[in-house]
Amino acid sequence: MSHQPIQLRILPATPSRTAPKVWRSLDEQGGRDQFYESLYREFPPNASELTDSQSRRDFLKLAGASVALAGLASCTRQPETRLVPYVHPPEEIIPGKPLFYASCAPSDGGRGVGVLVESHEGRPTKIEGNPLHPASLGATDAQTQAAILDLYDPDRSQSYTRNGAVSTWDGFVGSVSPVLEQLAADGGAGLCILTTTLTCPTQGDLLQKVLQRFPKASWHQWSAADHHQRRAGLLRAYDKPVDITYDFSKADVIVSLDCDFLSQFPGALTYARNFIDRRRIRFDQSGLHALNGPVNRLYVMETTPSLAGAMAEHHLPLTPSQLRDFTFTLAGALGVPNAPPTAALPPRQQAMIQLLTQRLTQSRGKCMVLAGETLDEYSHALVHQINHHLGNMGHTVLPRQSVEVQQVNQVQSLSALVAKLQSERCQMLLILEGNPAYDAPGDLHFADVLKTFTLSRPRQGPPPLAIHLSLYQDETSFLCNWHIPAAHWLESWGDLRAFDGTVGLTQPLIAPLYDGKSAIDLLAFFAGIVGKSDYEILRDYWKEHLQTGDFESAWRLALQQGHLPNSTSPLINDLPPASLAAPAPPPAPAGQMELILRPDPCIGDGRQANNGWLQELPKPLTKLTWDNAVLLSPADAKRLNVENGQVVKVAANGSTIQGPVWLFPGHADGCITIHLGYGRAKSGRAGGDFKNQVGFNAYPLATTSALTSAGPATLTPTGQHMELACTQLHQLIDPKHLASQTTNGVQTIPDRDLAPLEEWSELVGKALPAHSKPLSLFPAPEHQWDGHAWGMSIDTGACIGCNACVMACQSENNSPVVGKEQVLMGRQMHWIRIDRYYRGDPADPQQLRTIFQPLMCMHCETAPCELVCPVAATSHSKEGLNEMTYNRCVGTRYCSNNCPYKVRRFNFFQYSDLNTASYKLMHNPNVTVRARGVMEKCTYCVQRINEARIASKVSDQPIPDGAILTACQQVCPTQAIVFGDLHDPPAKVNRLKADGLSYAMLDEQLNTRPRTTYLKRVRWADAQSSEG
Amino acid sequence: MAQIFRPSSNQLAKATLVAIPLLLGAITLGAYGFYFSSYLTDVNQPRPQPVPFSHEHHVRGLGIDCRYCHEQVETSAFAGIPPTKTCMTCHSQIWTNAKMLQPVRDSFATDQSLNWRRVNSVPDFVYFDHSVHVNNGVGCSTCHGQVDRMPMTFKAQTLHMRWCIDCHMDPAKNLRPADQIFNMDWQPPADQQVQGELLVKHYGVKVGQLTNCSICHR
Repeated sequence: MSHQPIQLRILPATPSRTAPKVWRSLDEQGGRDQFYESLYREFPPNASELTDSQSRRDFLKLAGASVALAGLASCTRQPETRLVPYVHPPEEIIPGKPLFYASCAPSDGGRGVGVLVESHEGRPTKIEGNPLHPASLGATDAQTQAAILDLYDPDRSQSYTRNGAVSTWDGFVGSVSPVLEQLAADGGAGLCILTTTLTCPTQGDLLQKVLQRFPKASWHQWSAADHHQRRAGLLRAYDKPVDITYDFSKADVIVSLDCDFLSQFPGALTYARNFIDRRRIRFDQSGLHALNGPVNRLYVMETTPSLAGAMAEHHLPLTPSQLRDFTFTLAGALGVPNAPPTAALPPRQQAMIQLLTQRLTQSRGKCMVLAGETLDEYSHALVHQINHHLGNMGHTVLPRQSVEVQQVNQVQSLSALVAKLQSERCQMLLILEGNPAYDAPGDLHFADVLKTFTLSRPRQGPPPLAIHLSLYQDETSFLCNWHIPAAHWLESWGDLRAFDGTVGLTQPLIAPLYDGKSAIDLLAFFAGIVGKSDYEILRDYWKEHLQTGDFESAWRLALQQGHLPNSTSPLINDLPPASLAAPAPPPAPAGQMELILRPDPCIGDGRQANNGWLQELPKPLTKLTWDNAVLLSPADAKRLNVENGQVVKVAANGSTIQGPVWLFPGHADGCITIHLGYGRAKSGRAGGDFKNQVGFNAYPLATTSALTSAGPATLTPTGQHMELACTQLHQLIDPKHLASQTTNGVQTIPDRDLAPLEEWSELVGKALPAHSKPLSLFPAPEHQWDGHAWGMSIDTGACIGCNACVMACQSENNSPVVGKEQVLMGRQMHWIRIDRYYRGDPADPQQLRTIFQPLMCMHCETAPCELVCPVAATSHSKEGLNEMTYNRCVGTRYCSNNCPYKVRRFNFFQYSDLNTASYKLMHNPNVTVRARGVMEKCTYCVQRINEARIASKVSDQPIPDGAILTACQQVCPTQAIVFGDLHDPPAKVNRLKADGLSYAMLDEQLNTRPRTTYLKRVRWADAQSSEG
Repeated sequence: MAQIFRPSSNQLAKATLVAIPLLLGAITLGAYGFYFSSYLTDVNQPRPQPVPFSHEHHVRGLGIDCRYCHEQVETSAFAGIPPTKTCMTCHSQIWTNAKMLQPVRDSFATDQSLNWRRVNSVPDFVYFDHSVHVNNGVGCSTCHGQVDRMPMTFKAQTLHMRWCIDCHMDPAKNLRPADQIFNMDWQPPADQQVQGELLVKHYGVKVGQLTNCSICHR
């Protein structure tokens, strides 16, 4: 018997569908049904109704039986457990107390970011930033947070394989050693080594030793999404290995030419902190003050909307070819010698050139110009010249000795390897990490070349041998003779230079789970070093190179602090501006769409594709999960007559791929962006494989001559449609719905509640009235607060939308991954979501403003959820926490229904994986792993509060302000989140809550009295004067 | 056709009217009894262990302090189960050939842990912390009973939530001075309620806070 699913029409009869000023999606902006359906329902249609083919009678029968059987469940005995103590207890471990070890994580461009890893009885469970490390300053990014899941990933390679058959390390050594002896006999001419970007001094030293043993061997480098234009531009401008870092604390004016320095950029965490520090303000009785010198100004020209663009005062969407002309014109307008001539620009761009010229020349030595990957190497070199010309070198722009072991043009390096493989001059190929069979530019056909290489049988000499060290059995492993499982960085010793050259030490937190080897182990074997562990090799290297009197104590201190002292790359003070004589190649032909390929903001170049946390993390601006898409501007979509989810063919550079379209407000007209890293053919259960692909692979479109800005492309709709799991329509806070209940459809919720933005010009010269708190008609809350009163303040002016907090929360609180189908039904389980709002007209992307607002449980003092729980599973603590007691919850979901902030999450199924052995090691032992049928939400990290409370009760010392950091607060690169005790008057959180920019969301309408309040973002209009 | 119900059926009906409530009462009482029976709660049920360790002998007989073996009880949530090395501090010198101690010596020699059966445990969603209790006036024997009278260790209390809450609502009846925490023979004085109230103040226990759900569940 089949039943029609219940279709509730809950759209109001005549919704007032005027285009709102603040909007979350194009559907909302356009006033479409789809948006209103999502707005008035907690979940999309059919996601929350029983749609099984059960009749009502069947349902009642089952319900009755369940109730009867539920009684029996209480008669079970507690299962017997075992106590297994140590035999010889390790000196420092106290069972029940975590330890923190300093280590160093690889990040963008292979640069290290210092971390502190929490270890519970030898199991790493959480990664925090290392406040002592210059590339972290206590923060980490989402990718580093998610590395914990990589470590425990059950899909990781667990065995050595030789031509597909399982083998061992000894088998490898036994079989390869004689071949190496043969190779060494003629200088190793047949040996090729391919590494990723190397910033590890010890690996560099070992490589030199390998090259001493095999002088004729060649070393190549390839990291797919690794700032190739930037590196090439530096080599072109200075003709020697140079790196450039930036000092944002000294910059008054920042001009970014499509460079997103706030994410996926070496040093991004430090830059984000320094950048935001110059924007910290206070608004009080005496007016508006800047706390750290005059507020900086950011101007962003961008192709794809980026985090930097969202923070910018002025941004201008441009296609890559327009951006190139813009750069040339800017150089010319600033008077840079030898600037290439260009044709006149359209008026808007010309106006921007005038503005920028004026601002930059006014702040000589206190400004900076940054170039991104869509610019070619010539433009990069030109931008370095602009900085020279503006006198920024040595002040805001700091040239340094390169932090890479060897800075080479990696595209040329990889092309040279392909030529060697094809010409039979190579007998043995060693690939140390990386996945070139997947991520090499399409025109190199690396996978085919590698296949031909391993299958070829030369007339003389042994058959060729390809060896791949990798965390996963991936596309490249599949084509190599030998696969060696790699040790994760949490399992091995190593060292990594940070963006400024500081050497961070990587120390293992756990013995390799699957007998993996590190790159150091493998290189040592190739260098003929026998009987030394990776630790001994690392230590011996630094014993030789660390200039210090007492090595032992210096080494121990370095291990404890996570980095070596005074190891920053020296600055180059007398770097002459290079002469740029080379003529510029012709720009892309007009009239066609230009293609931009970028690493995915979540899974990067594809190396973390099998990480479910990152796959399900909504991308910062598009809010897509589990997929990449062909991103284009709404105007282009209209012109091409395509809609969200329509599959199109994209043809460029002789290759064609297929993918769904996604409309991206703010995207430059005339170009499309595709994120790399998806469409893996051999990954795992989250990253997909060739049968069950997740997203689509765009690497075939890349060429050696056009990597990021990949030239002209044509789009052809296929007529197919694909559902994309986008979270921007989920958990919508509804201003009009609430308003219609109060004052008959008049919008009573001010815009600022949902997307707080104040114009600087409206604040300047004003001051906060002495009694700014509105008097309330409502009686005071009934609760009596005893002792502490926990509260939080979130600065939306400092939030860059980087998603680090979402990942930190997931890792700290054992939140599960639900998968694409469940995300489509609005059932993602993140306790924090970052609402992304737009202001302005999507047809005019230059005026479009993007605002981020992180949202988690507000811990309302008069919480609507508590009133409706029939079993008192959610209740109020005496300290003002809105508590969720999982073991009481029976799953009625009334609380979630009644939450105006839409921050409660329900376990519709058994989302947490309770069976996979490795995940059991991963979970935070201080947080319950939730079961099916249970509601959950942000707890203000109550386990951390309890830990501090117990410590204070044991030591009889009060809890100092700042002793409790919630997971989201601790990870935040810009310190936008502050948590503390509202009963402790000097606490930082109280100062922030007293600020004139502070407000409580929806409080005026609903009297919820949320404990979390927000600081409004101030939009700094362009100004010549410094303020405050 | 004969009558189905004879006159005696009236008596049966009356008897049934009495019997049904009696039966229901008996079932309820039975279920209640079963729920609190040591079959379900394991109270007073010694468990066979790999080594028949006697707290009575070691604590009462030899006078060894609790913290000699459960050394982290004052600093960590987990009181700690002594590593084999702790056993061997004495038993490498005395009773070195005792057959009973063979598993201990084997463990020490082979580096394989002893595998004890757990006696006192709370469900996984309860986060109990020893350190905060023993530092704030809750003695060992309050929850674990007089361990020094247990030749084989058994559970002394049900560890039911109701039992926890009972003390969390009124800790005064169980608190003792700081120097009596590890005293197995401590008995509440006659004026315990008065003394207890003073101790609540002394330790700074915020009694209202103790019934917050998140004190134990997170």
